[in-house]
Amino acid sequence: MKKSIQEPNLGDEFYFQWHLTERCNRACRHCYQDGKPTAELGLKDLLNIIGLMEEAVGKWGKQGTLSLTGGEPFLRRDDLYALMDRIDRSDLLLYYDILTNGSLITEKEAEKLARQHKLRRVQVSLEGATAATNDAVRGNGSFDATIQAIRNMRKAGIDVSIMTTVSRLNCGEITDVIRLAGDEGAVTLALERLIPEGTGEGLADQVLSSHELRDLYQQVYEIAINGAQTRVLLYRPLFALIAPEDPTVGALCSAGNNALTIMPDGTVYPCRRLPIPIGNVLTDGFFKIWYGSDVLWRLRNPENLGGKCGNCDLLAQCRGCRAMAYFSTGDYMAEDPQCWG
Amino acid sequence: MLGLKPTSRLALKDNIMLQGIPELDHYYAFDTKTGDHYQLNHTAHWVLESIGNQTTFQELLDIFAKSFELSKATAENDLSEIIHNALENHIIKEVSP
Repeated sequence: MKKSIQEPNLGDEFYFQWHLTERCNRACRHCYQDGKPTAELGLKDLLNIIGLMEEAVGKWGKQGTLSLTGGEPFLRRDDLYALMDRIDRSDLLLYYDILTNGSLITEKEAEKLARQHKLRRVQVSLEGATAATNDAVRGNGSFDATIQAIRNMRKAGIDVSIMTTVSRLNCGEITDVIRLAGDEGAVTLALERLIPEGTGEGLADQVLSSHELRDLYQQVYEIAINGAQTRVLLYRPLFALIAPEDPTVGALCSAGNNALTIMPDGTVYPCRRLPIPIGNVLTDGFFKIWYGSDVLWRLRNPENLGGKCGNCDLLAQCRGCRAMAYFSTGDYMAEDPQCWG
Repeated sequence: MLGLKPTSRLALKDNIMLQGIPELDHYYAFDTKTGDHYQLNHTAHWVLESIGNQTTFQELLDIFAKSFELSKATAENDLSEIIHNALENHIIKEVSP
């Protein structure tokens, strides 16, 4: 039976992106991980963290939503299911997504996953509409494996989302990716910009220029509003420049506002793409981090924005990507270097 | 006057953290243990910051009246209201000299 999961209003939601492991069975060239081994918490600590999440969102009057991810989260399969079972019983955590490369999602695994009550979507990544483009980034055979995983999940009744990291390696293929996502029955397609960090630093010359990004976003917007088979998520920084009057387009970065990222050892970042440690959830707790982090307070104040981000007329809809600013300039409050405004 | 003497010593309670974005006129007090959070106006934030580690009511009253250019009566009335709310919400405590 198809589950019906109600999505909260943005103002009611607090989002946790939770990396259970940094281990991965792929070695993607654009990955934000740096390949160094990281300590992992045991299941008891992970379950404690869920309790801390519930305490925090309960106090804030929010509904908690999560993405469970890695590395590859199915490399901690038993723990992943234990966490999903626990969240399924929570009154305060509304739903979770799984972000995975899909390589371990067999038909049997998909059938098991489909029985989780609060699983909203499973997100897999594709870097192109062809095996050649995708596998050049994600490794040989990964395109076919991902498509198979999507089909396994669709067959089991699981909503699938596709995420594509846009760069010069694939910007000419995004129209085809949107079509492919529709053909494969993906409910949403998210386009994220390549940030030159971690392993992805080696692809810095593939980051789109501001004008290349503008042209791409314009093209994507036209397709999205003219009846694309899949819903292209347009609530991302800089999309607001394409159609400032369209309320479905553009979004403030959630860092410092309504989201936190938790790493495998409990370290907390404002965002996975902005890997500045602001505490450890087990030793500091969410309240001390959320209320006390100087980084978060700096992010919250738009007066701190530099360059053209600080003088922008669209501050209510877009404050750029702080991670892109950080890895391009060293200052996360600098202007977003991909902005064409 | 809340049962406070001029020599009564006041301090922020443990785990209370003050924050503010002055440019936006947003001020807060947070309890990092319980998660309780309070929105403050600029004056209340100024008072709580001035209490800091410890101060007496009289010291606070003198500096409050001077900083905001208030008569003694007005200053005492306004400050008492802020202190009353802060005590009631467990943001500050009275400490032994």
